[in-house]
Amino acid sequence: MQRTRAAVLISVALVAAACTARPTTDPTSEPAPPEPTITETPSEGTGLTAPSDTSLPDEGVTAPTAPDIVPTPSSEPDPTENSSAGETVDSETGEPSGAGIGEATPDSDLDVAAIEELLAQIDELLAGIDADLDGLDSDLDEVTEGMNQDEGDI
Amino acid sequence: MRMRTVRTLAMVGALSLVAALPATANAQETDETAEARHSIEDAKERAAGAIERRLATLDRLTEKITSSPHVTDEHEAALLSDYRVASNGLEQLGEDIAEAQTPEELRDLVPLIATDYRVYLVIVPKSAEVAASDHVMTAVERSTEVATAIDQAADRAEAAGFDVTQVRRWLTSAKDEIAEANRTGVPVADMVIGLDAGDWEEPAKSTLEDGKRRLENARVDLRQAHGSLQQARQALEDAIGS
Repeated sequence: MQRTRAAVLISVALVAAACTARPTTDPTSEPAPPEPTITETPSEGTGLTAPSDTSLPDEGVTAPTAPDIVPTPSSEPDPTENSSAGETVDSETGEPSGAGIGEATPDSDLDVAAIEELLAQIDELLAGIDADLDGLDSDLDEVTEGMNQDEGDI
Repeated sequence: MRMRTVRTLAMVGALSLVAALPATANAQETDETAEARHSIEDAKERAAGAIERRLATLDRLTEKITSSPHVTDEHEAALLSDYRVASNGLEQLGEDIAEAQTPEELRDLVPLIATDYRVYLVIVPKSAEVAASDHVMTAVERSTEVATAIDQAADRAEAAGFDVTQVRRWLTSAKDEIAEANRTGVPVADMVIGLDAGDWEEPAKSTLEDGKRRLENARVDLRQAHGSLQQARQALEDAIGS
């Protein structure tokens, strides 16, 4: 019984001590520390004013921590998007299905190889045309020669 | 006596003269006939040579047209028919000339070698223009094929993200030039293929000259198109950075 009473007294004493130690003002009403404004020197020759949001946090103020990210279905990577270059891929075959102009990536190596093959075929066709045009030159020489002929004296 | 002798001598002299006259006349006639015959033979020989040259030319044209990979079947058939008609006609004319007996006959027949067939003024140039025109058509088709191939390759490159603006520009130029060659050069064959000896001098001469100009312009257009296609091909290679 005495032990119980002693425990109660100790508890009361501790509570009283704790209440005495608490601040008397609400921390949320504490005035914010003065924020020194630092004006950054404009870049040379640009005449532009640096952004005004240059206030520095006062020492002792803890920067807010980033909230934990909880993965959600919407933040999961899109299976149709190639993460390396934002290039879309075929959802069934996984092959690149095209990208914006000027966004060629190593993934387009297959396309380059295919186009180079087409270029080789085009070279052969161009060589054929070259031969055709040489033959046409010869035909036109004959036209000129034919136009200069006459029946002659008989 | 003396008087009688003189009369006798005079009579003998007169008779001798009378006897000698026909022989002199006969000799002169023989010379003229031989000369005329020689002249006729010469003319026949020259005519035969002229016919022979034309037949050889028609053989050469037949060989050229039948071996050409560019001349269309329709044009080949039309030209070969012309050559056959001319060859048969010239051979018949050659026989008629060989049988001619008088210079007058020859004067009527020999000029027909040129005027009835116009091998050199119509058949030769029109054959050359038909062959060249069909050649232009082949070149137009091949150039179009190359333009299409580059177009498809450019489509693929564009889909892969490459900038093919320059390729498209060169292709547009090439297609315009090909179209122009097609417009000027390809119709020439049908313009001239129906010309025959009776069309000389007009409209054959001006039609053949117009055909020649068109073909020369088509050649320039095709050369330019070829250059544009090469530029398009190079632009495509540059675009993909290979």
